[in-house]
Amino acid sequence: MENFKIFVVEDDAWYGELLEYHLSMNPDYAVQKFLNGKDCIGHLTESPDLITLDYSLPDGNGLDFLKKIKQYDPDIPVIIISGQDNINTAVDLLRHGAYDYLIKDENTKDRLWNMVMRIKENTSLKKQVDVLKDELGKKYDFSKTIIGNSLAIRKIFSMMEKASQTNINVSITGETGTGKELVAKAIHYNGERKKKPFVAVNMAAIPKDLIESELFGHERGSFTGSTGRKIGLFEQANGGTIFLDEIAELDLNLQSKLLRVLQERELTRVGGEEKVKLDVRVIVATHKNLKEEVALKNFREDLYYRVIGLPIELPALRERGSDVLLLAKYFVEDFCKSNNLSIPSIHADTQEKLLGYHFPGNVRELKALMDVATVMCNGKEITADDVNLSATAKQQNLISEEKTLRAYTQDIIQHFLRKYDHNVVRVADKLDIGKSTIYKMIQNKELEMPN
Amino acid sequence: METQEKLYDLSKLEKLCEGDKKFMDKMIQIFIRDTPSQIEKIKTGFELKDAEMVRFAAHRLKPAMQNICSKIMIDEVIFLEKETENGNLNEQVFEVSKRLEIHSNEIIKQLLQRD
Repeated sequence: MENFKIFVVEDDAWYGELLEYHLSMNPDYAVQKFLNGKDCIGHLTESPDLITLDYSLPDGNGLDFLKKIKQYDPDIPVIIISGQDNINTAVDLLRHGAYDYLIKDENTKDRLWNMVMRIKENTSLKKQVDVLKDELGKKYDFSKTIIGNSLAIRKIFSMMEKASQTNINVSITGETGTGKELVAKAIHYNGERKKKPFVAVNMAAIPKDLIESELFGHERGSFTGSTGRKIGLFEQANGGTIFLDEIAELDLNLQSKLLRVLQERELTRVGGEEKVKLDVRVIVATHKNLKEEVALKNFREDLYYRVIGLPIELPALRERGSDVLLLAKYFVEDFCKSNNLSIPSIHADTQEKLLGYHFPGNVRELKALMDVATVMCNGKEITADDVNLSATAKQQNLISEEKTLRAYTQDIIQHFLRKYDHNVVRVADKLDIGKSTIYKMIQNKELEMPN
Repeated sequence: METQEKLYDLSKLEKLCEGDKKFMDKMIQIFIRDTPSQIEKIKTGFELKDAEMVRFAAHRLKPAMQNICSKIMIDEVIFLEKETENGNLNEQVFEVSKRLEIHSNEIIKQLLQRD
């Protein structure tokens, strides 16, 4: 482990020697002395873990150097050590970010020793948290978050990249199991806010009566049973990102409260008066069509425009063509790695079976299927029999809505167009229909094609 | 003017050095080496009527003196620092600075002669 680096800034050689002697008693501390503030500032690039700063230096006072240190790196703890016990000076220094203010007397040694130990513990915890956050960030690297090569998914990558480069609100839509939360996390952990909290909340999972207090917090005694102040999820996410999943499930009354918070960028806890400033990026998700919900008066139009931001529509797995196979292979490998198994291949019949299935549960369903198939197979190859598809799901999905035959035809062709990257010739071939039929439908705006 | 009184008291320094004789000697050597230059600064401060220069030198001497010197010298250095903080360089302050100079010369001799 690297030594804990302490800079001692002290122009009094006698006292500097004493500080160095005491601090060096701990072999984990690497102490470096400076006789003036300027030299210390010049060595800040060496990233000290702690600085002890004499208040009266020949080239300036402690406050001037404290400001310069904090300007360089606000996280370096600075302990001011002074021969004067001026309370106003001490308050001023603490206000400018000094960790503490010590008077040079017979107790300095013990107090400094304890203080350094405390700072070292905090620094070590902070470093661990930073390492974990970095690891988390790597886990949510775009290429690892969403596996796929289809046109639809490449478009999603590009949208995610754009979203992570700015602070724009993002709305994610997609069927269940398409990976909405994963995309939200990837946007957060690849953006500027990655070291700040990511707070996910599922609106549908919180009882209606509790949701306001969960989101915005409450003060003690604001309702029966509230025995203390509770910090809400928005406050917990301050500086970072809040992910509001199933936003369409929020009732109209709370929608207006949410709108106010988003507009004012501040909130008031339930039963409180204090206004809390917010700097939170909002990412919302829903499996419903929010615009339709607005038309049905289930969702406020003003809130819709506030949260819609950059819309990302996640394609269903059945619209991602051969991505199904890439994902299946990835899930098999991942399962084998975490269970210390050798990786089986996926038989051609199995691949055909997977490509023909419509996956109502999307990627989540595919993962569950492949986990079971890996367990059930002979260890060398996953056969079609190892993959147990729900036989009725395909039919149910196709006829679950009442539509005209023309509408069903549109849905089917649209589905195949997405699946085969909008290659009209290939789709015509697969469906055994004429290319001109498809082109005519495109011309009549019955089918959507990318620009 | 010379005084026969023992001007040093090493009990605090011994405690600070936690029985490390070598380090204690080092601290005494630094005191012997650095004190005359600070006393010179106090003298120059009076010559230039620069109270801040006197205060700063007294402030520098204080930590070492508080751990090595007898109470009489500690009182002198604290007095000098306090008075000059308000820009006071009157006769009484000057007298105290002279006494501190004499005591400093004497304590250095005593420290050099100690066993």
